[in-house]
Amino acid sequence: MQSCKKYKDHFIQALYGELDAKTLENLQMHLEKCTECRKEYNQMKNTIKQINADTISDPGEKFWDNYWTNLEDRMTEENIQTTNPADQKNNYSLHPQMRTWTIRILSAAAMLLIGIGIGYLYFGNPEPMDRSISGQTSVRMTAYPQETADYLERSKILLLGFINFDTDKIDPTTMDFSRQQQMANSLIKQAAVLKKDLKGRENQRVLALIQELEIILLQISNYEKEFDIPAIELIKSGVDNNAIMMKINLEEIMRASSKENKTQYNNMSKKNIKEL
Amino acid sequence: MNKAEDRLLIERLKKGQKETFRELVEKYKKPLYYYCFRLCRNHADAEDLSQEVFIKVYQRIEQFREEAKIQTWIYRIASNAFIDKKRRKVFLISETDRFDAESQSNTIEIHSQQNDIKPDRQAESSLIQKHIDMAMQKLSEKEKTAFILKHYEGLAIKEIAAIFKTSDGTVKSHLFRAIQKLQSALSFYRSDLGLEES
Repeated sequence: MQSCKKYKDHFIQALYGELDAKTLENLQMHLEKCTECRKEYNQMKNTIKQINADTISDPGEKFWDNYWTNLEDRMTEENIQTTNPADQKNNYSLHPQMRTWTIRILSAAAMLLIGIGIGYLYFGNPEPMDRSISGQTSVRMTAYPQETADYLERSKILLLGFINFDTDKIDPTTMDFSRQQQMANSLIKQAAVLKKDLKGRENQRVLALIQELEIILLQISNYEKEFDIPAIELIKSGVDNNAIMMKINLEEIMRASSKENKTQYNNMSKKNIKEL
Repeated sequence: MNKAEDRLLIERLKKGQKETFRELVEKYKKPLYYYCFRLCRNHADAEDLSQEVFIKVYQRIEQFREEAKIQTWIYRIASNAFIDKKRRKVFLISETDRFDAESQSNTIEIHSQQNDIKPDRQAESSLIQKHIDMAMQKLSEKEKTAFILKHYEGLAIKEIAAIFKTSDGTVKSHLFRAIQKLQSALSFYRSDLGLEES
């Protein structure tokens, strides 16, 4: 069964004549032996034959004769110069090298602004320590229970395995993800319990993160081997697009710094009481 | 397409020589239009999309890196423009309305490169066409573009991966899924064509 998955990965290249001779020979040998694979391969081959019957209508000579004129009209309507691209370019462009540097500087400035924005979003504008009486300012940022921190840690470990998975180097069909799926199921159940305890404004951010994680965990839980590569790519892009790992790391940093601040504050309070 | 010829064309276009853009349009208008037609499945949207692609080519010619093939670059712009339009739902004719809107008069049928099935009657051909159109609707934008680039345009998996800026494995998966979806959508009349698998 495992080897069947490996051969199925070659079907597309074989159907379109992109497979090297040796692999093709191995595939053909497998197809001779394996009825199921042969059936699936033949079905795909026949589907391609059916699609070959697809015809398209030529719009006719008049259309082709007027194509340029129509395009030119549209460009004029949209105020795009068609006469001389270089002249148009010179109107607004700097020297190519200077333009490259300008783009680089602007990109760096944009990145810096994005960094500041993310920093502000995640670290907010905490009040100074001495304004708070019981050290609640720092605790406010990560007021969620230890179970939530453990939940994030377990999710991170699970996701790391997927984001480091290279579908080009390792055939996912040869992998057994049942343990990861079990872990994802258990995390989904845990999330339902954790979410009930995460109330209040201070927990909004971590609640949103858990909700985003739930979607990805569901994808892992529903992972089917038949759709191996796209499913893994979908999981990877979900983690990537939502910056999940960065958000978990930020939560960890903030929690660690909250603990440190709280300890420092408690030590300071004890010292002050003694002095009094 | 001759790569050296294309390189000269691009050089001239970058230098801003008059009429060069027109030359490029004349050279690629047909393959681009057919590609757009396969994506949109109707003439009006295909014309609109192909024009939009040429405008983008013109505006972005400075960004073109000459190690790539100009045709691949044009296909990349077209694929992205199609996916973008589809997501923004800005096509003139929805795919479901297409069957009524499509004009049948004064057209010459062009069979695909690998065509080896020639239905005897035009009505039958039209019916098959309709089924394929409907089957194509089942594909996601990426599956559809990957399938068209592979099946009709004859691009290599590596070239399609370069267009999507993704791995060969992902392209293979898109193609695998596309064929499976088409297979399921077209299975009902496979026996009529004598294509029952053994």
